[in-house]
Amino acid sequence: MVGATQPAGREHLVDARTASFAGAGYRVAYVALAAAVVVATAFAPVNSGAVALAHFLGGHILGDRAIPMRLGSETFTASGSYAGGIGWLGAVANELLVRAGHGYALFATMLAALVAFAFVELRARRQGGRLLALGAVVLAGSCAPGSLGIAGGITTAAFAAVLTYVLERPSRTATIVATLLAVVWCNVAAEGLLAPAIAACIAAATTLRGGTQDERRWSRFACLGTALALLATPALLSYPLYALGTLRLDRDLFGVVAYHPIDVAPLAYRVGFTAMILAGLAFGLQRDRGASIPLFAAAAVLALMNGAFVIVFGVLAAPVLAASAAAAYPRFAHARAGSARADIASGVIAVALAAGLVPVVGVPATAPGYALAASLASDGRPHRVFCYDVDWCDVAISGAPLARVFADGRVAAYPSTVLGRQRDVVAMKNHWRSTIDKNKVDTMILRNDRPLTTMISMAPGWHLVASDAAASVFERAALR
Amino acid sequence: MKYAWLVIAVFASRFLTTAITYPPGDGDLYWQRLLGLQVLRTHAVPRALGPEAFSAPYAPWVPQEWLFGIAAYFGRTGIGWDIFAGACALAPVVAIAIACWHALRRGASETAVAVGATCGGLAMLESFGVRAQVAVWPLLALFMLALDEDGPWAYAAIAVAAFWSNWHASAMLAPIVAGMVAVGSALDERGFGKRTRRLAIIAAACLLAICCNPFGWDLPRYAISLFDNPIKTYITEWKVTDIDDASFVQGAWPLLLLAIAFGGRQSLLRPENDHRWRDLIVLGTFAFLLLSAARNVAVFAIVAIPIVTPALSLWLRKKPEAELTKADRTAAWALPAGAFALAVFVGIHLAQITPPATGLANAPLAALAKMPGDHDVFCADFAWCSLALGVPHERVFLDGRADPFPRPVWEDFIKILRLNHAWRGLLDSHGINTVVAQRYTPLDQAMALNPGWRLAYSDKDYTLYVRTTPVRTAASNVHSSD
Repeated sequence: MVGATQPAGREHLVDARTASFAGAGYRVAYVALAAAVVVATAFAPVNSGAVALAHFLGGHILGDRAIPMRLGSETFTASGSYAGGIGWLGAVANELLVRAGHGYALFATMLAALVAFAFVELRARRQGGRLLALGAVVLAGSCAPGSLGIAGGITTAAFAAVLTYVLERPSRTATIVATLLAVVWCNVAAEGLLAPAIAACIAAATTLRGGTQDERRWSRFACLGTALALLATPALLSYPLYALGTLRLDRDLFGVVAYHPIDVAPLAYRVGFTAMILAGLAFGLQRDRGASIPLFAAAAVLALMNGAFVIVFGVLAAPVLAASAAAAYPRFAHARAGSARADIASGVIAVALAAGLVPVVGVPATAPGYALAASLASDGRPHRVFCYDVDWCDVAISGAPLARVFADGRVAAYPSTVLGRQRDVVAMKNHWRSTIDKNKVDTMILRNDRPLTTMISMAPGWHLVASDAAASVFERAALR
Repeated sequence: MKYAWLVIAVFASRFLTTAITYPPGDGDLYWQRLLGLQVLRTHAVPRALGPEAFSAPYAPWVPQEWLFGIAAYFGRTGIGWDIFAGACALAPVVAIAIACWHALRRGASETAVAVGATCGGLAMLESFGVRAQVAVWPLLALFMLALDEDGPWAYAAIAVAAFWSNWHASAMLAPIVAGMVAVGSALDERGFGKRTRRLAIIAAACLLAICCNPFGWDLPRYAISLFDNPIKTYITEWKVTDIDDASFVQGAWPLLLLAIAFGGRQSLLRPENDHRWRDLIVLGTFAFLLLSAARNVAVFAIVAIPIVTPALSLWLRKKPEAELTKADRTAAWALPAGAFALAVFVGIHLAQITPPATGLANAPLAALAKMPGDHDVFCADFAWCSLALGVPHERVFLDGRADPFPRPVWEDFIKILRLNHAWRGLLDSHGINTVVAQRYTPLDQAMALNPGWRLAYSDKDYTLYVRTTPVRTAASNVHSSD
């Protein structure tokens, strides 16, 4: 599989002048890139909210031997709301890794990153040759800032990269593998919803590029298989609905969660996304132009809708651009397969490097804001908490068993009325004071230098308990 | 242009209706009219703020829109307004028309140009208004057209740049774009050929041309200073472009996707295209600008139409039946169907549109004008304070002129607006004695709790607070000596 040959009819891309690059220089570059991925992952910030939620859900599943399908008493506004147990398998895996030690979770994340970029390279190499495949990895990597940490989104990228690789050569085996992969993905995370979308883009591409009858048939079966995989979760028919909400694409969530790329992944958007677009302009979608458009456009729109998916755009579209570059500038493309043994050796070196690096990397400090939420457990008292940033409350319910929250990061499970009130309080609109009073909120974790923070600090009964670089905790005693 | 004219006509009606019927949504026209009046009275362009800006009296100012200000003054009421606003509505129409004509000259097909015109019109919808930056859109289109000329007419770009610099500081783009086109031309010619030399001369001349205005070198210097100016953070149209910008999604993004889809050596960069590197460099630069700030959406469309549509045309050209691929057959019905769907969308959009609220605090400021005493006013939206300019006994903290106010003033403005922990101290230290806020906003709620202030006016949209006890500061001393 490694070093796959060019498809029939692409011989014109072969250029002997660059074939020499497939030697030692290539292997050095491959190892260097893999090392860069490993090191960047080791020092990337952890997505504290997602880790905390996974810890909360995983802990409950392992403790109760059952998947909680509804919100529990950890929230006082939507207890009993259907949540569907979305991402239960990912949560269990996370919990087992966390229990084993931070290093294991980090190592797993490094492996996910290596898998994601390895499959970007493999896809790009199929049509663009090794040199352009390296370029594709760099391009995809430029979309990675903000995604490489634990629970930062690189796992989604890995699933997307592998699935696309499998689906791009439609066959019966590919359809079966893609369906199984989609089943696993859907149980690991809400992002599994992307599987049938990717399959549909590739099926459209297969049809538009004039694939054989067999290819067209199996690509459509792959669509069907990945779509059916959506039903193979504990949520059954509810999965698509709740997973869609969990992806945070819904514009009705404005004011409750951040989704603009410039807010969620500023560096990836400014550098990676822009670089991908500029590369697109430079090379055009040359090869199978009509076929490439659906996947490229859909991935770009996804990234624009939620910055967390800029990395998915990177891994899906970079190989497309490599293929385009190969068609536009054949002298940079070559089809030499290279040595499979050398590829395997490079992979082994990268994994060994990851394993060696993990013990050296300490447990990262919890990000400001999240740290304050985690500290609620320290006083051993119950709290009814309102968080300015709902993701902070993920840490509160995970780390402080006596804390109950107004709303947390599981926004898909909360009724729209609750989310509307969350938005109103943050924006200080529509009787926000009475919302706080009626719900007997006694603890507020608020973002520094926001109007609400100043208003609460001026309000009688509330007093500042703690603050850090991002947030302040206010409490009032009267209601306790 | 037979199809494109149909599209342009739809947008022309929309722009004209918006410009003449709807009141301006920002306060810029108020200070621009005052600027025009001042220029006409004194026969000189002011180079500093006056004492009416108590936070930064006599701060240096480059009133880049001085010519627009004069036009705004003449077109302030009645038939004058209809002519002035109508002329502004014509600006995007002319810009699209020039871009489409430019595209046809480059070999674009009628169908492709119509698609480009549709995208261009949609890209302009959100940014459109009776504003100076809109008035210069045709100049950008004309500049790009002139640069494409392979003869003496190319030098017309210099005159366009000079004229442009008297309307808006975006004329700074002229030498930059000309320079990039010259570089692209050198790549296309693989050397410093005749065309490259001409373009290099034009680029250098444009650098001088944009100084042909009352500000001279100060205009490009001012434009350069905007690159790292923090005020961009506080102005909506400078925000980074994203999918919530309708004009981006409906207009510029499809153009960008078309450019990507039809880029490369088979179309945009095809070897027989003798300006392929020029096109790529210009398109890449404007794509970067497009993704950097929402205000560049329309500008990108103007530049992209002549570049993208010829490439699209290559794909749309008739092939022998035997050579048609599945993608060709799909495009044969998908493109006209897409254009029709867009036209229907625009029609529905036009039918459903309702006039927006004025968004200006006319009522509280009118009430303030009747109140006795001197007023140092803080407006929660700085553009509102443009309405207070020229009103006796009123001075403003920050108004729609925006750019000349120093960075510390902007920082304090945002601290007060966001109720930073120091906000009350800042109100005192600046000697602000009047605050205009939108009702139920955080500032309004905080002012209601602020001791030493009283509610002097309120309606369903706005509130006006004045101090009950005077505050003595350096600023108030200056006020009393005026």
